[in-house]
Amino acid sequence: MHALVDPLGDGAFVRALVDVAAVATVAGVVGTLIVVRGLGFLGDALAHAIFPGVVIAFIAGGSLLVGALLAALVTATLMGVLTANTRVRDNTAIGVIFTAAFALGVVVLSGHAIDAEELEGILFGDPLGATAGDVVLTVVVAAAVLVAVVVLLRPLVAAAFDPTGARAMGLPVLAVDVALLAITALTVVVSFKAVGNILVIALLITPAATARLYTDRLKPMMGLSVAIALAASVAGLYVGYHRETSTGGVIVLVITGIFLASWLFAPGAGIVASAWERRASALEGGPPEAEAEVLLASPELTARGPH
Amino acid sequence: MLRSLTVGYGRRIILRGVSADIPRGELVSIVGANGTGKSTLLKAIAGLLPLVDGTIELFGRPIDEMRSHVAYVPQREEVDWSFPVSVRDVVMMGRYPRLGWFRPARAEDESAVDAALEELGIADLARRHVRELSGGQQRRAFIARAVAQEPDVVLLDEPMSGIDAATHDRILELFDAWRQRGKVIVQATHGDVHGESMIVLRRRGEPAEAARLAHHAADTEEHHDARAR
Repeated sequence: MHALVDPLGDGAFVRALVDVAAVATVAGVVGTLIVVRGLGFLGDALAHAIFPGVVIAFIAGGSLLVGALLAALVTATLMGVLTANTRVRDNTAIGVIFTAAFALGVVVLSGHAIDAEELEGILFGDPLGATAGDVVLTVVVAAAVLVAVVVLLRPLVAAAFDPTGARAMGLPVLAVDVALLAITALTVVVSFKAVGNILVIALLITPAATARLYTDRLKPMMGLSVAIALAASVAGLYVGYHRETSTGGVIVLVITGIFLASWLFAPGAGIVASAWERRASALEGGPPEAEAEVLLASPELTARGPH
Repeated sequence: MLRSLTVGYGRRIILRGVSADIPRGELVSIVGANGTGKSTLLKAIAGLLPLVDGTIELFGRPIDEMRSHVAYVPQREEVDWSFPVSVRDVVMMGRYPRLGWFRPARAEDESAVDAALEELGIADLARRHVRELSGGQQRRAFIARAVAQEPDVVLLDEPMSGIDAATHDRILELFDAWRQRGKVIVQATHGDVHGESMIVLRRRGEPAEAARLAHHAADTEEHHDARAR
């Protein structure tokens, strides 16, 4: 019991707990929107694209979050401009920009001496190193993103499910897409202190992908996704605290474990569970739901069986 | 009312100078061979494509101001069927233009959705995920969405493709009911015409008669002939 209670007396742990909880909540919700839209690659791209912003802010001694935010804005704009030319497909533009941005970050970084531990914090997260200012900023941005999602949920759903019909009804689908891009960018930015630049994509995608295995409804999917992200984040934080290992890494491994278990055993969707449900002894007895009547016009047809 | 409509993608002009004045209660079928621009014209009427030239008016006002009065039933390829929504969620989307995009549903919206589900005979499927439905049931769900929207104009892109006979008949009954209530129906179709009025699209150089005969519906008198000038 002490292993769970004792850390709560440590200010750094409590700050990390609040930070991680806020991030898990917003990542679970926004991740659901990204997964149902099939935009996992976009989340990954944004995560890579903020890297130079973070590195430059770090070297300049400014706020990493502000650097990340600026980089995300620049990238999102560039992506919109590139895809305006219809010969450049979305995924192509994403591929071009995110590798270029990451390369810029690497080049800038290589010119400066940087402490390995600090680099690790940028890449893989360092929630226990979060300052009170970091936590406040994270909670405020996370709350703003959640409010935006609640307000925009209906347009986001309509634009994703049936963009043609939504546009015919007068919904500005392009503006809704831009809003989703901005929401994703903000989520990636506030998440990187908790799990780091490289691992943030796992917090966005994996809980939502796991939740999708359990439900066909959007809101339950969001709730479940948040629950998985929260549980894994808190567990990861405790392990990271006690074992002095990478918190971000443990969080991602726990989430991935839940995903794999669900992929195997989720009722109706897990492959082992589905096979078990289809086993002969589980099939319902009694009359089937439909009957087949075979009417063949030519008598020769009835004589011709499969060879 | 379509006035000298010209539509195209990029620099390609697909159709030029289409005009039609469609009265209330009319069912107009856009017919023509593949590649003559049936869906393109329908999308232009729906305001989904920028017009190169021309205007579209509904009751004397530009279509852009009247979007909530226009229901659009897309082809099935344009919908993401894996998206986690129930049949009821889909039909409720028809209420969004009336409801605004941000307000919660009111009792009248709920009852309009119930009535639309009832009218298409899919009330028992309301809680199902859309992917679990047959092709005919999916089309019914989208037409129920159009019913729930209570529009003045219904635009349908190939409404009869890939559906069962019962759904086909149900849609025809609904067309009649809509026409009696003075709604305008425009469908793009490569199949049956279900009404007197047509916009016949033909390739450049193809004679008008040939295009109509090709559509085996040339015996009707009141064509709204679209001339591709």
